[in-house]
Amino acid sequence: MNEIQKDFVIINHTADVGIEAYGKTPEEIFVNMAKGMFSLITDPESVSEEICFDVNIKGEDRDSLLINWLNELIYLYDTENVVFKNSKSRN
Amino acid sequence: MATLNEQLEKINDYMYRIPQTYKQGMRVPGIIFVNETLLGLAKKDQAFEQVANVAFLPGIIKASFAMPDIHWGYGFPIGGVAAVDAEEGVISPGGVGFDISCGVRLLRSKLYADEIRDKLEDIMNALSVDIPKGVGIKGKIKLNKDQMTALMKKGVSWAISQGYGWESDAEFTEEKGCFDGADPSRVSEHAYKRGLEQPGTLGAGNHFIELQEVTEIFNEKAAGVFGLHKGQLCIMIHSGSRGVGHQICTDYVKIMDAAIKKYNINLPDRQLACAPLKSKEGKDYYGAMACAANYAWVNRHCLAHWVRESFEKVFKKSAEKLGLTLVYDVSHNIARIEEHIINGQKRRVCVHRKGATRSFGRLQKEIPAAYKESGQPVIIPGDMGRASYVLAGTETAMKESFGSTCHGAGRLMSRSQAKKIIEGSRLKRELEDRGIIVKAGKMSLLAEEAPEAYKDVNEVVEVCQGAGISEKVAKLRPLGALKG
Repeated sequence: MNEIQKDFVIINHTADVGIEAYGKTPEEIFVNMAKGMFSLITDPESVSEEICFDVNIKGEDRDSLLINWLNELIYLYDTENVVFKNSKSRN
Repeated sequence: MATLNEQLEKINDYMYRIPQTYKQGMRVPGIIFVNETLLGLAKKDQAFEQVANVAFLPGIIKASFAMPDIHWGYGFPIGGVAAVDAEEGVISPGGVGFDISCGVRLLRSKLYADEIRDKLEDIMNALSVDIPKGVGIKGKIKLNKDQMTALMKKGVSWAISQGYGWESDAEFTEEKGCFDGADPSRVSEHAYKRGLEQPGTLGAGNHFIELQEVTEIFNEKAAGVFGLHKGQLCIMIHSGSRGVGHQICTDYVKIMDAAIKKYNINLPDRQLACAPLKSKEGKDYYGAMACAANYAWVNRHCLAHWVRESFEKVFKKSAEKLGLTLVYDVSHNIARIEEHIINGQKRRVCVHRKGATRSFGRLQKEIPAAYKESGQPVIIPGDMGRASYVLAGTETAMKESFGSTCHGAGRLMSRSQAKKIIEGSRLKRELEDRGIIVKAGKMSLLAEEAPEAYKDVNEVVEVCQGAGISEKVAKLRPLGALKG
C-alpha cells in the first residue's frame, strides 16, 4: 500500500467543511486534525512559532476526545488571538 | 429496502412526505416544503436522512419539518423545524445550531437608492472602518464579567441603557430583544471569556452588512405597514451570537451526550443529543441558550448603531433625519416555548427552528402592535449577487409549520468546493461590474460566499409563497456588501 503523504485533506460538506486527517498513531491524527482546522483560518506558512500553550483535555471516548481537543483550540484562538501551527501529545 | 428518495411521497407541488414507516423509531413523518427543482438539489446530500432522524426525538408533534432551503447540518438539517411537547419533549442543541440566534435585522431609510449612487462608495468605506469584522475579531465594546451578566440577562435594553441604539429598537426586535428565561449562571467561564470583547462584531462566514434597494413590492398593504416602498435604500445586517453561542452549544452538546444515556433516549445520530425539557440538563441549556439569544440581539443592535453612525458621517445628518428606523430583527437559529393550536386544542410546545424563521401570522400576541394586521416581517437574506426578501408571516404557517418558514437561500456548494472553482478577486470584479460594491476582509472567504455557492433565493421564496407559510412583501437587490 502506498504510504499516505498528506497530513490532512479538506473535504466537501454542505453543512460547512470537513477535514480528513491521517497519521500512524491517534496522537498524529490529533495533531494533523488541528493543522487542518487552522489551515482553514489562515495560511500555515504565514504563522511563526512564538508562543506555546498547555492544553489539558478529557473525553470519555476517542471521538469526544478529538472534538474536545479541537474545541479547546478554537477557544484559545478566539480568546488569546493565536493560531496554532503545531502540537505535541504528552501522553 | 426502498431508499429514502424512493419512499418520498408528493403531497402537492410544494410539499413532500417521508413516511413514518421509513425507519423504525420515527415517531412522526417528515414533511419537506420543496418544489421539484429544490427537491432535486436537496437529494444530493444527507439532509433528508436528517429530517427522518429528527422524527425520533421524544415528544415531537405532527412532523419533522424542513424548509425549502434545506441542506445538510449538524444533527438537524439546516432548515429543520421540530416542535416538541413542552411537558414530555426534549430539547436538542443540534436543533438550534452552533450560532445560537443567528439572525437578520433590517433598517429602512428615507433615502432613495437612485439619489445616493455617488455616495455608495463613501458609505461602504465608512462601514468598513466602523464595523469590526472577521473571525474572532475584538470589538469596540469591552465588558467586565458583571456587564456581560447584565447583557445576557437583559438583552437589548442593556445596550440601550449603555447609550447604543434607540429606545424604539427594542419594540421591533423579536421578544422585544429579551429572551425570557435567560440564566447567566448556566453559562460557562469559557463562554463568558469569549463574549467579553465581541459585542458589536460582524464575524465572518455568511455574515454581512448590505446596502440594498427595494426593487419590487408584492403586497402594497403589508409593505406600507413595514414602511417599505420601491426605490428605497435599506440596510440588512446578518450576524449571530459570535463565540458565546458557539461555546454554549459546544458545552451543552457534551452535557447532552451524557444525558441521552442517563435518560435512555434512543437516537439514530449522536449529533441529535438532547435532554428532556423538564430535566436539569434541559433547563440549563434553555437558560444558557436564552443568554446567547440576548447576546445575538445586542450584537446586531450595536452593529446597527454603528451603521447609523457611518451614515451620519457620510450625510452629515442625524440618523433620525435619515429615517434609519428598524423594520424588524428575526432569529433563525433558536428553540422557543410557544403556544400552538393542535387538533383544536391549545398546547405548549418547544419549537426548534434551525435555519428557519418564525413566520407568525396576524393577531399573534408575540408580534409588535404595529404589525398586528399584517403578520410579522420575515427577513430573508439572499446571496451577494441575487436578492433578499421581506416576507410576512401567515395564518397558514401557524397551521402547517408551527409558524415557521425559510431563512435564506441555503448552501448548494460546500465552502471548499466554492473556493476551488471561484476566485475571490475575480468575483469581486464581476460583482462590481454589476454595480455591487464589495468590501471583504479576506478574498478566499469571499469566494466561499459567491452567489453560485447558494441555491436561488427566488425559488426558495416561491415555494414558501406557494405553500402559504409566508407571503412575499418586498424584494431587495444588493448595492454594497460588507463581508468578514
